[in-house]
Amino acid sequence: MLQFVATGVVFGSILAVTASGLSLVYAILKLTNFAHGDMVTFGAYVALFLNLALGLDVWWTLPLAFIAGALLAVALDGLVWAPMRRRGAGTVAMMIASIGVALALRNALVFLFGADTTRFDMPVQPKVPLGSLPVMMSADDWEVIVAAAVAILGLHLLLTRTAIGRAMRALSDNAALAWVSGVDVDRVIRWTWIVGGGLAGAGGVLYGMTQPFNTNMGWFLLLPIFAAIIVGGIGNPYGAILGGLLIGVAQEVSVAVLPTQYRLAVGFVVMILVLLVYPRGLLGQRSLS
Amino acid sequence: MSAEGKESSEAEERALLRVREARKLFGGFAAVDGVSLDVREGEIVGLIGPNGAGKTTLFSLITLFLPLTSGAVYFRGQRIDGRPPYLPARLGLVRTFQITRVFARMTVLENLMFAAPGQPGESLAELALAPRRVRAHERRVRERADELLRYFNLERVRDQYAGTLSGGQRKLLEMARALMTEPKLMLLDEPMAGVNPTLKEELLGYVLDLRRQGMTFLVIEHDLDMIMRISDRVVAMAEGRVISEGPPEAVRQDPAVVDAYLGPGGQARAAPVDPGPPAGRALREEGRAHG
Amino acid sequence: MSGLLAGLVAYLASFLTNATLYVLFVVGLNLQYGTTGLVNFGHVAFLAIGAYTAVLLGVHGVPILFATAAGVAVSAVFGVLLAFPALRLRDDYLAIVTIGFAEVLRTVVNNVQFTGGPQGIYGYAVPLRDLGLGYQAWQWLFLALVVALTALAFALTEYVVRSPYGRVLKAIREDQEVAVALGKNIVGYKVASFALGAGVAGLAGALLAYYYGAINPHNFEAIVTFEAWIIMVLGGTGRNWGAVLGALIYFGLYSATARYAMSGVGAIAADRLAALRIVAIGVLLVVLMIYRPQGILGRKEDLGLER
Repeated sequence: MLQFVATGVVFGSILAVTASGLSLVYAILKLTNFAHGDMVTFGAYVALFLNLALGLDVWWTLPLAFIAGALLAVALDGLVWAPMRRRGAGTVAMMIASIGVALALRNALVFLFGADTTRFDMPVQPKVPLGSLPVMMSADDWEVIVAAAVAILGLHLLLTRTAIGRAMRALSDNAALAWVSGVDVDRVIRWTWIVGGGLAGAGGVLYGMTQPFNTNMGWFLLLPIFAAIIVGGIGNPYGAILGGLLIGVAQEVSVAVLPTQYRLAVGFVVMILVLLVYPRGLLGQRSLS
Repeated sequence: MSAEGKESSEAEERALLRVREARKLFGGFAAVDGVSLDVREGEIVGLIGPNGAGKTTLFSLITLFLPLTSGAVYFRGQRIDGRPPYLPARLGLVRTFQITRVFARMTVLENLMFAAPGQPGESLAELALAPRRVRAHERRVRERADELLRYFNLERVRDQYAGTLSGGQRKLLEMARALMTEPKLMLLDEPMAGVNPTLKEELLGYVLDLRRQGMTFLVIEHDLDMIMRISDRVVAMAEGRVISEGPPEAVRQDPAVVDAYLGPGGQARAAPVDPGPPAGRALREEGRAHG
Repeated sequence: MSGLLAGLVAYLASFLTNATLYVLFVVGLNLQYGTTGLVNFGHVAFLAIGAYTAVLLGVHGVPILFATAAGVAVSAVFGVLLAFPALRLRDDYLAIVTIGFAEVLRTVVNNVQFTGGPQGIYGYAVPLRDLGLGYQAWQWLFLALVVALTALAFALTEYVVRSPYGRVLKAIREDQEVAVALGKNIVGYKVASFALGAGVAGLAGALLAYYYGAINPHNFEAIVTFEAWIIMVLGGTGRNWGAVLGALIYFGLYSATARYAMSGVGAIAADRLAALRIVAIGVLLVVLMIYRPQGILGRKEDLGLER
């Protein structure tokens, strides 16, 4: 049982990294981005390319995948989201467009890399017992948790200690007020995408470090990611972190009683239950500050 | 039974709408804090007060858009609070909105026809089993709608999407649509906000004309000159409470009202206060969140 | 030469059947989203429920007519179940919940015994097939059946949408609070709209299963939902004729590129070209949403009227 919890924490910290980025994007842009999962996949494949073709150590690809994810997100904003904002597109139109982005991105990766399951070239590390507990974890597992914690701490410091972070919070609380009080909205949006896309890209690498993957990984991750942000309260990155851990642990623990194939469904069921009781998530909405 | 008690119970019988000690808390903040008021048949009652006084929230409580924290609302002698929010309109109590809310991608005619009560065609069973009855009723509803379109001078835009109308036309459409429900009492939320002087006079004319035909109104309005001209009685609110009530001139000169608008020691003449949409929008969002 | 012609004729029948089945599928979606404004990103689930219900009952000896009707009914019942969260949720939450429902359903179908798991079901009885006709003749006959049923569903939903009932659905789409303030009890309408749309999709699913002659979970991946959305928004949401136009254009483009996606071009393998085609679908969706969200038949005034 404890073993499942441990595995759940590893998976949950990956969810936390990717979900907090998606939640941040929602908070600032009010965009429900169905392409977020495929941005995670993109990060993993950038790392795969650097790792396999250029022989780079996987840990070194982590910051590079962050940068690649950020660049992709900023580019997509210029190509898709900025024109839609200018034209005053509705929320549903934006969601449909994000589906289009998701399809295009995922299949561009299939075109380039093929659809087969693949993995990073990294040494397999032994799982060792954790003290006297009946839990086996590898050094990579620990490193993934630490890397996720560092990413989340970075996000927290960005939101609370920097001018751009404060501007983000102002914009998410009251867009009109932030606008008139001179917040540089374009700059905030750019940074939102840098952080959101970067965390997605880095999250993809972390995921790839824990298991083999293929081009569908982001799509399958999308459900637990959405479950995480809804459980935590959509638009609330801190809630997304909590939600990510909760969903991650719930999914892995379910393996004790259900066939593993239903793992992804468990996150969805938890989400539905939370929505029925708290229609606005556990930590509520709109509380970047 | 004392003479006074008898008098007030008679007054209550004549009252179309009775609000008793209505309270609404948002978190710990009392947006409406123990408001009681009566609206009698055939009256035009003006509801004034500075921004944040709780006027629109009170409208939402009366129309059951928001649940009361405590208190009671009676309409035509029947207690309605706690009942479903579609009930008031069916009993003859309908509201309009501060920022007009027309059905943008429906034609003007459809906007009106939708609001008619008791349509058999709104049931799938009737559509399948009694199509002729549905058609006949539909014809009557259309006639009534066309009548109102003529009355409000909207015939030319009858088949246009409501979303293409000008601000003034939307105001008229909203009023016409509310009339389609065959109301006894109309709650108008700032009908004159953002309206040019010509249209103001026109709207005023409609209100007075409808009153002559027997309609009753409760009107929120920031344009004090306008409210003084049309109201039989004025109720002033501030910070969620009723601070003054009576004939328009008396309320206007009530020091409590002057203080509420200008702060203590302000000038005697109360200036119209800019209504400003943000407050209204916040309230609408509250309504959504709780609806 | 006559062989080529026969091939073309057969191809035409399959093209028209596919396109018509999608029209039917989209008619259901259009009632939910185009008319009532309920965002359903998991429409394929109802297609799957209709298909599996009809086929499984047929396999167990239920006559095809009843099995098909049951497919419609069971889909509609699931529509009612899914409508309950829809009553409380905003657009974006509803989109997520419906997409999740479809994915979970597919996972279940893929992993339980009675659906045949990943292999699916095949070799079941199919309507009109026992008349002793050749396959070609059956194809055309079956197409006629599909067209007739689609026309019926089309006409019935048109009738409902143009009726006072449809007026309530449209008002819910535009501003449900105002609809309530004007005295309408909207709960039943939302549930019914979702259930009717699901039932229509269930019919499409049963017919699809008969046409394919074999079904498995792969036939019901999320992409099918988004193909339906593309067809709907191509033609213009809220218009059934838009679904027809959208389906013809979509399948026209699809067929025009089918040859390359199946055999590959030069050194590029077929599966990669198939991926490239989905890239094109994605880009089409994005371009549509940026430049013409109202679709081809949509009125210019529709622009900017969506909340």
